[in-house]
Amino acid sequence: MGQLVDIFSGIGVMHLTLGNVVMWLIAFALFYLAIVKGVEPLLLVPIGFGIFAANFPLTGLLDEGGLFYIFYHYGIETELIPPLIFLGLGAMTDFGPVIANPKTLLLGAAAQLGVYAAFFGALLMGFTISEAACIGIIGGADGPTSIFLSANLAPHMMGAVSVAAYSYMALVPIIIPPIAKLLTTRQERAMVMTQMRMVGKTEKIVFPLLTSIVVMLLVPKSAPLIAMFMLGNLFMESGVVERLTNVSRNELMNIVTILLGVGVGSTMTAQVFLTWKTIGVFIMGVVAFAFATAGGVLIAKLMNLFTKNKVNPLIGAAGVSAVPMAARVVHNMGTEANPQSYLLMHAMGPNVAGVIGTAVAAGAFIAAIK
Amino acid sequence: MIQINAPMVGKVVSVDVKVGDKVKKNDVVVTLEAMKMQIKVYAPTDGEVVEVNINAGDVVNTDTVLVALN
Repeated sequence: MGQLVDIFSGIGVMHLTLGNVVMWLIAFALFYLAIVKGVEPLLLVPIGFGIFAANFPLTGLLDEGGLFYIFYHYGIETELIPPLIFLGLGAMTDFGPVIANPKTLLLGAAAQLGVYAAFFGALLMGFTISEAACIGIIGGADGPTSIFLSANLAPHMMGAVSVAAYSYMALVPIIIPPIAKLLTTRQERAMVMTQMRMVGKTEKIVFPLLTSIVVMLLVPKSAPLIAMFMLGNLFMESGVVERLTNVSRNELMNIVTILLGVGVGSTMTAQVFLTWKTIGVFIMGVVAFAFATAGGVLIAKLMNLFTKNKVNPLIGAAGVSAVPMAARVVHNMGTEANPQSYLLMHAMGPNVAGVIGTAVAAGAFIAAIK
Repeated sequence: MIQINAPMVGKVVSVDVKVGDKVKKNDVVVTLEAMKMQIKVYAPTDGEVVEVNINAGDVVNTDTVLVALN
């Protein structure tokens, strides 16, 4: 009889909890979004499966030495993978629009207002200072940075923060337009921006070096992300290491995306994820996005008061990063107000500047809090 | 004659007018693709198409004249 009990208690189904099943349903919801709706499939499929598999009892996947433990511990906890993703992003990012119009750097910085608005909001809601920083960074709309910061400050929040960041990024076409419209007049939205100047190769090579110097001197803790971002960019712009450029943005990026997705998903076990804090993360995440959009638009309007070459304030909304989706949304809003207006490339300026801005904001949080 | 330049670097998806066509302001003359997005280029004024310099599949730059109107 005792043996029979032993055999039964070794079967996973005897240990399955309601929480596990709820987490499976969440995983299935992510699969649905990714597979049927096409929302961020490259991330949500591995994250969803990580959640799914991590919520089986007795597998040992998450125990020390278990497979998911290894992915998480060596890939994410050591902060290895997010900078590798940044390497790949750097190798695909064209900083030309920023170089042609450096004012847009300011707009990328302005959108970080959302990060701080959500940070203070989360503090008021009773989150600890470390947790609040991770929630705020959702407003930067940058997945790897969110994961990097939560690995640093609040690992238990990582699952919720990254899923919130990726889901809201997918909602950029829904979140940005009403806010940007509310803060601008039709006349402002219809403004045509003059054609950008062509940017030379030397400028494009100098940019990653100069940015590294400025950012890493000012905010040293952002170095892991910024250094790899700029290295990837230098690979691409130098034009002499095509093999390294390609491997950074294709194969390496794809490999680490799998490890990152599964690793992050595996942090979302029922006992960690199914708490009121997760709901708080999602609420404050949308606040962060809204304020980031508003910050970019308002600073663009402010900038227009003092400068001769005015910008269409809509491009400020692209400062939330979410490259290049936010820029596309902005372009469409511009065209809707005036078919003669082509904002796409102008919006790419704040858009890529926003990525740098978010990495800097993360570095500043780490320096201030850790 | 009014020349319509490409508003950004991109690939021509379709040329939506031909020489001799009469277009009105804000009619689509060319569709480009950039950043995985289709961008419609609209006629800046009414006019008649007198020149089409590009074909579908061409990569265009901001100094490329796509179409000229009279």
